[in-house]
Amino acid sequence: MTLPQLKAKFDSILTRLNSNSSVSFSTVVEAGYEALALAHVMQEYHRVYGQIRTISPPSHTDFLNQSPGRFLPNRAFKIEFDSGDSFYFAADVEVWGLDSLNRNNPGGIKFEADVVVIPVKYRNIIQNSFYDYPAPQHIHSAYECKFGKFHKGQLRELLGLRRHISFLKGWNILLNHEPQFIFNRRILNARPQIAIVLFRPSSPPFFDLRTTLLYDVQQIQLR
Amino acid sequence: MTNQTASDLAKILLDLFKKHDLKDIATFALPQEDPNSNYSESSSDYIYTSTETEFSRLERYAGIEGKEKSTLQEIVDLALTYFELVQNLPTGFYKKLQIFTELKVPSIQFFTNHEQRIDVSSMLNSNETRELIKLLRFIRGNMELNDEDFFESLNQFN
Repeated sequence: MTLPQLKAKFDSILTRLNSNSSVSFSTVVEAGYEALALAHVMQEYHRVYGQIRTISPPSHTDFLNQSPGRFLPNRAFKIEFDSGDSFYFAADVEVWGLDSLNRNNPGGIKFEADVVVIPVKYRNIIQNSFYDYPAPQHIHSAYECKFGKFHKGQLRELLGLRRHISFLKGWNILLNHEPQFIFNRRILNARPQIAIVLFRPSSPPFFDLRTTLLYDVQQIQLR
Repeated sequence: MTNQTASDLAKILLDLFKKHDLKDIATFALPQEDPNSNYSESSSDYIYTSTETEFSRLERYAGIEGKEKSTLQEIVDLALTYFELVQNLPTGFYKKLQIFTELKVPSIQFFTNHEQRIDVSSMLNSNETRELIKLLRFIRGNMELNDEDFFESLNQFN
């Protein structure tokens, strides 16, 4: 074999890797990583809330909504704990922002999160009054997943999600659910106290650690 | 392997990763967060790194005299890390859900806007992924051979 032949061999394998579907390989990788993150979050809730009474898979065959969109319970995992708490674990959900929180009505722009955890008790109100999109008062925790690219704009995206669903402290937001120490972090300043976590397979430093602390956003290595 | 071959091969791999939208591989070259200095005041120094800056660095190093082999080695290691992690994503998903013994675990799939079903598990753990890992491991294990023996061994490897 020669160097040009080795090049052709690599090229041929990489071409086949990308030509097996209408979406790029890196898109499929990101989808696979979201699935892993979803499972990891379910494990974490099991650790925090303890014994499980029932657990149900999505009744729909597809739990990854490739296009971000509505919260559809039939595309979400559901866990009921012995403690009485129960949650949906859903991928690629668009959520309403602070305007919806303030007015307790849907409105304003929506922001997509890769994984969202929603207490089951809000299912009906989200479906009947919020057009299937949860608002901050319905969200228990939210997650972004980045397997591949890393750049400083991603911290801004994460801060954008935080600004979209939480005020900084000073506002007293009374929730109908108790926030917990998800992934061992107490939410210090964000109101409502919604955990926001960024999952990555490697753990490059955040660009401004003090800002991430102030805004209660966290990066966790997951592989 | 001569420095020239190492340099040529490094450039070839980088060109192909660029061509096939796989620059994400360079993400694994980024410096890692020090868990002990996390959220401390002294660790807030602003040093701009990104996947793009790391990819450009590799491109630059591949052409620098004296860095050819170490750069090729780094590229191969990064690509192996990437593809091995990718290959294990579906297994990781199923393993994490194993603790929920009552759960009937669904397959990882989604539908495109054109209703094409994408089977994520089989795409990430495909023959192509396995072939790439095998080939990259071969390069990593045989870089110390001279050019002739390297390419001869590659013939036998295939």
